[in-house]
Amino acid sequence: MIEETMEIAKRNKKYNRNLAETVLNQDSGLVEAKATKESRRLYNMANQVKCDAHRLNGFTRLDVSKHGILHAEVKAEHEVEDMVVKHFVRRFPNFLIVIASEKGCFIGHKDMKDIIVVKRPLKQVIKDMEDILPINHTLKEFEEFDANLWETFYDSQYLTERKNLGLFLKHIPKKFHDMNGLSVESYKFTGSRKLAEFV
Amino acid sequence: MNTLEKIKLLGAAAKYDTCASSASPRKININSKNNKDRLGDVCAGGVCHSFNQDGRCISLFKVLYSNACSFDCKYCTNASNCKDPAKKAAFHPEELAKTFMQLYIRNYVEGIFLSSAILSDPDNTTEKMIQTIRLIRKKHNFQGYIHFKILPGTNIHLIKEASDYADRLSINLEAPNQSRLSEISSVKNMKNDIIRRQLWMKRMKIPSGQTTQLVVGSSDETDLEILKTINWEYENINLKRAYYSAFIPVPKTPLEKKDRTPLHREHRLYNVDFLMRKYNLPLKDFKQIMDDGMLPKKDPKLALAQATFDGHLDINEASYDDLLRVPGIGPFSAQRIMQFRKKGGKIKKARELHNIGVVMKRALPFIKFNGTYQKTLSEVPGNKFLVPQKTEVIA
Repeated sequence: MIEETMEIAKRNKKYNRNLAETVLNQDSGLVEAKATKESRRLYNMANQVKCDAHRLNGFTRLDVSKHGILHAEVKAEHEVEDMVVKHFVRRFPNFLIVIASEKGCFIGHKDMKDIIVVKRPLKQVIKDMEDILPINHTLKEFEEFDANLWETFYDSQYLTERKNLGLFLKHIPKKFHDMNGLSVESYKFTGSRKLAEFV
Repeated sequence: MNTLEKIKLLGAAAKYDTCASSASPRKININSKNNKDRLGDVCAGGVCHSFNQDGRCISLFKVLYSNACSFDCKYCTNASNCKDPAKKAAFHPEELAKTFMQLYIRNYVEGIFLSSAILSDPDNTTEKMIQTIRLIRKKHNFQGYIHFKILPGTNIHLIKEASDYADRLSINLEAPNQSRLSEISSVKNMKNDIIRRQLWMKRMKIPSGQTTQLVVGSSDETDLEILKTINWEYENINLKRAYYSAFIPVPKTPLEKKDRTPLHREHRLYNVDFLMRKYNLPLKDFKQIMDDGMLPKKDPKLALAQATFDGHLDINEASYDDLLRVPGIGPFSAQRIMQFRKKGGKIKKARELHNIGVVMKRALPFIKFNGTYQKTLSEVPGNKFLVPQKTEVIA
């Protein structure tokens, strides 16, 4: 189990080979129980990677191309783009998945052995693929999309009586915090309230 | 009415159903013929796709098929006896299936949660709902998560057909017993309409099992009544889990003037529910910390530990079940402690326990290790900060 954790921790941007060697030299009982400071740090690194991948699996919104391509741009904190591509390949085995980040475009499909990384802009990659690939009838049906669909549904789910901005801000990625009428500056996530709220 | 207007109405009507779980252990056979055109899969742990300003996760496309109801539940805005009923709407199966798939393909949702108000009779409404999920499964070849709500009084054959398509089935209890249910609905019968259906579902193969939901505080039920019923359900119905929804008075309903149930009451019920399910603490233990059948505002595990512990627990000798009773120690920490002890290790320092994952400020008052434990103020000799027990009466 420690080997598996180490493989995941290697993807963390703060991964340190010395830490891994220290952990390997410690008592396996202590390491598996996370009883040492170093093993706990290593497990935390692996958890951060898993959380980053899980967050991207949930928050990435895919765009549809009728040529059988699902694509998106993501901002990953750690090296998890290939994990995200694999997640979507499992989910949509008949489409080409293209996930773009600052490292390049990660391309995957169920018939491809490995994920390919292409260091070109996403728009260019999609255009080149659309020139080669035929129309996919399943995705053609879903190509047109009204963005209001999601906005309307999202707003309908809100229970105003249970407003809890602290919990909301805790879950939502920071890049979405400054939204219409909601800014982190106006609501400090410390639990403290301003005098104006009582007056 | 166009699709957007229907989603606004029918999405809002479904929001009081609190279940957002999208986890399913169902395995997809990647070599099967169906995999050729497959759309979607399930995750064993579920995925959250967004959060609302109430802090709740939005992972499922949660809508009612229709909000036109013939039942008279007093807490519900869709009820037939509502003073100023909302506009009525209903989806067409094709329309609902296509809308859901649009959102799923773009990764806005993880699956669909389909419920409904009861149009004319439960069977008629359920048939239309099954038509929708049949379209989603067969026409669109969707292999992702489906949560299907069973309506009270539905025929067993329709429930069986729904179980062939859904990952999870649920039917809402709403109240802990018939006497409380009759205070909020004159139409539903607990035993015939609800419990009987749950017993049928128990015999069916449902990947994520069955769940239920109770409205907390709509009738004057106590926490003990709720927990007794749920405990019975876990033991006899093989319920996967229960959801508790604090009562919120909805305008124009018969209960609009009733006080809102404080959220901490819902929170404490969830605390005890988890302690019963995951920590295997029996319900009878919680009776000693209840006051007139109501749970305390304090954390139930802490209250129980304060009421039952008569000394400090030795971390290096306690059993797994005893460790679980200590506030700040959960199943993972307890497992790690046992694993560590199995390999011949002994906890000597607080730091080791902290690294394992024990919440020290909660656990320290109840544990000892290496012959030491945290002393209370009264145990410290010569403590000048000790408040005297008796106060003098000044004439």
